[in-house]
Amino acid sequence: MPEDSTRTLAAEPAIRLQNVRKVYRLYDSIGDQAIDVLGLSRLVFWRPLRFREFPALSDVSFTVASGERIGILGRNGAGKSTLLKLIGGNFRPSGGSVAVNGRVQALMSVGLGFHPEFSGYDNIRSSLLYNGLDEDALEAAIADVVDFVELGDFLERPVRTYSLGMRSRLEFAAATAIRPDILVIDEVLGAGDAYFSAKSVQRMRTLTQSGATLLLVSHSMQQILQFCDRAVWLEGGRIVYDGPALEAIKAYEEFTMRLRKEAAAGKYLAGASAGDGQASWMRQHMLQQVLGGATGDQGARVSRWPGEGALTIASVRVLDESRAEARVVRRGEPLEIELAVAAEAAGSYDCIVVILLFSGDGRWLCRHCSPAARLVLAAGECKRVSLIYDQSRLGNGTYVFSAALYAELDLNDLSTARAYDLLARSFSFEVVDRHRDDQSVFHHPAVWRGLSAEDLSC
Amino acid sequence: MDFLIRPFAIVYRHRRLLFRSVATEMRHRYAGSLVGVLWVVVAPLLLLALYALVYAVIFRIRPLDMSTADYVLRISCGLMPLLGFNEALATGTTSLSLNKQVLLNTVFPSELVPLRAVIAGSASSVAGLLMVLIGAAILHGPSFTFLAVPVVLFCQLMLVAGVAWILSLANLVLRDIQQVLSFLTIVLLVASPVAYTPAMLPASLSPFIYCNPLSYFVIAFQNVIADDVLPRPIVVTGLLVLGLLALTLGFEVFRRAKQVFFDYA
Repeated sequence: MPEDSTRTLAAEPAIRLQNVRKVYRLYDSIGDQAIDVLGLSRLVFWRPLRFREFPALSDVSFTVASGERIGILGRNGAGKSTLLKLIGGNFRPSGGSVAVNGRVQALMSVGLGFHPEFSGYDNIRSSLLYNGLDEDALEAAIADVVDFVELGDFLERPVRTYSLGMRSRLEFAAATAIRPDILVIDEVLGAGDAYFSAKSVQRMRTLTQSGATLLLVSHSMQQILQFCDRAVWLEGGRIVYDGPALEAIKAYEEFTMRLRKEAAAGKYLAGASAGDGQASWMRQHMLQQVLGGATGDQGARVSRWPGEGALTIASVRVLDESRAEARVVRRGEPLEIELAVAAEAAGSYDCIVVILLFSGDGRWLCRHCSPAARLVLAAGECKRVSLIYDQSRLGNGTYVFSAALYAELDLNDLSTARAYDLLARSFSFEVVDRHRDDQSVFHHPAVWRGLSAEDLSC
Repeated sequence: MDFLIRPFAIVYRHRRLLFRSVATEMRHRYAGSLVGVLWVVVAPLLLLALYALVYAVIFRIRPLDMSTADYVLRISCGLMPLLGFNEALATGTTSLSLNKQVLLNTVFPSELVPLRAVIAGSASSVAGLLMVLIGAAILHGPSFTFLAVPVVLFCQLMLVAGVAWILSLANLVLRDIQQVLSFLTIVLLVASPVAYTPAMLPASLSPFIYCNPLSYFVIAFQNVIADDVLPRPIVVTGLLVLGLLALTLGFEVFRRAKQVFFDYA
């Protein structure tokens, strides 16, 4: 299809879903399934066909502009894969409409056109072949993949001798070697070691910068923050949130934390499709709590994870040099994060204060744990605790942080941690440098040696 | 008339993709074996040798008006299309259920999946036919009727492709089909006039030969390769009608029903 490969105008949405519904019929027997699919239900007029209907998606509507990058969140069975299948175009919704504008390349778990007996090189070629490249483009794409995977002599050996990591590296590279209009990725990134994760990330960047529309399903919140500006959260086949990626992730993380907590307490809510009426009511209730919570400073929502609650974080402020509340801090100037800790009842509390700093794209930058302290507080009393950067050494950019109060925290075994209160990724500030185009993430304190006073006289 | 053109249009539009993916599919089939794609040639060669051995050395049977060599040639003419039909249909039928991941993409049209399986599955019978042609040329010299072989072959490919389009979909919901096919293979082998000619049958049975669609192909190949004559009009009509009907019908069914069936892939 080389004739129609000219890019469509950006004004047209790449994907538009309107009231999409997808119902799967789960048959009691293969026979019933065959009879129904072949449209022969009249042949068994003496009894109804036995099947249950399973709504995988209900009333899903959203629009993706061309070049937009969207993350899709949701627990197992929430309908993410069904959604991706519908966008692929070979599957039809039970209701509503799916309009897709452009060629879709789907990167799902299995390599398209891969064969274990083939050498890596042959597999690259046969996998690229599915993309309808012409001869010159094919050679260039193969060279690109070979260059990316760095498998050396292994490319001459059959793929069955590869480790899982090597194989997924190859599949990832082959699937991203072409420039699709719409790239759909389902849980395949970050295969392999740290070096290749970073390399894959870079490759994805170039791909998305070239104007491809991206749909990324991932359970790694960091990946979604890294690549997507917007995220859609599916729960039980419905969109429960569609908005900025960070907000979606905060709400989603809080929701899963609460579910985990409830499950630990013996209430079985976790199954995404649990039919139990009470369980689904509880989940619904929880969703409302998570999504309808109070709005914190700067309009971002405060995402409060379930904790023991005896101590709470009553407020969080970012203060600048003059100890005035600030949203923008200049590099090199002091920065203070101040928490107000409040106790519900009078008492003495063992407490560790933790502040976790993230970059704007979700990377974990710094963890600050206070020394273990014992706070003696009267009921309703607020104590102010501050974390101070005497000079802010962070580079240009937006930073997000979480604040938490822990009763117990063993950094070697986080599973034993008990939190009084945890506010996840709920606060942010911006750092500006004198040089606006400085890309440094961090300005490490350092000195130069070997340059004497007269050398510096110029 | 649209429905007549559609299957050809899609093949033409994706001709290079189809060609290359058939090549890959064939290499996939023989991947990991010692002689690889050479099996395309070796398999029919072994089979022809076996039949020659059985009829010429062990059974020593032949019709009175034929030499043993002519008889073996005649059997081979019928055997190759039958084999091609069986193999191509079997691979075509399972093609979709074995290549589900292709359906997740739109870059590779799903119509091509059964089609390329059929073409790749026909390769060894085409190689076999070539050997039979060489044998015929050695036995009684080349004949201008050899030129009709590609036409008959093309009709057969159309028939198999059409049937495979339908069966590959059906096989997604009813895996029994591939089991039934292997039984049907034997029935067709017995019911086709491979080792006998219509003339050998009692007159009352000969109409039944024409009820078996494969008979037309067997007879046509025997005519143009072994007898050096063009097939009778009824056979020619049969070939064209069967081929075109199956192709267009199969394609329409596939085009209209695929999305219903893909849910069960």
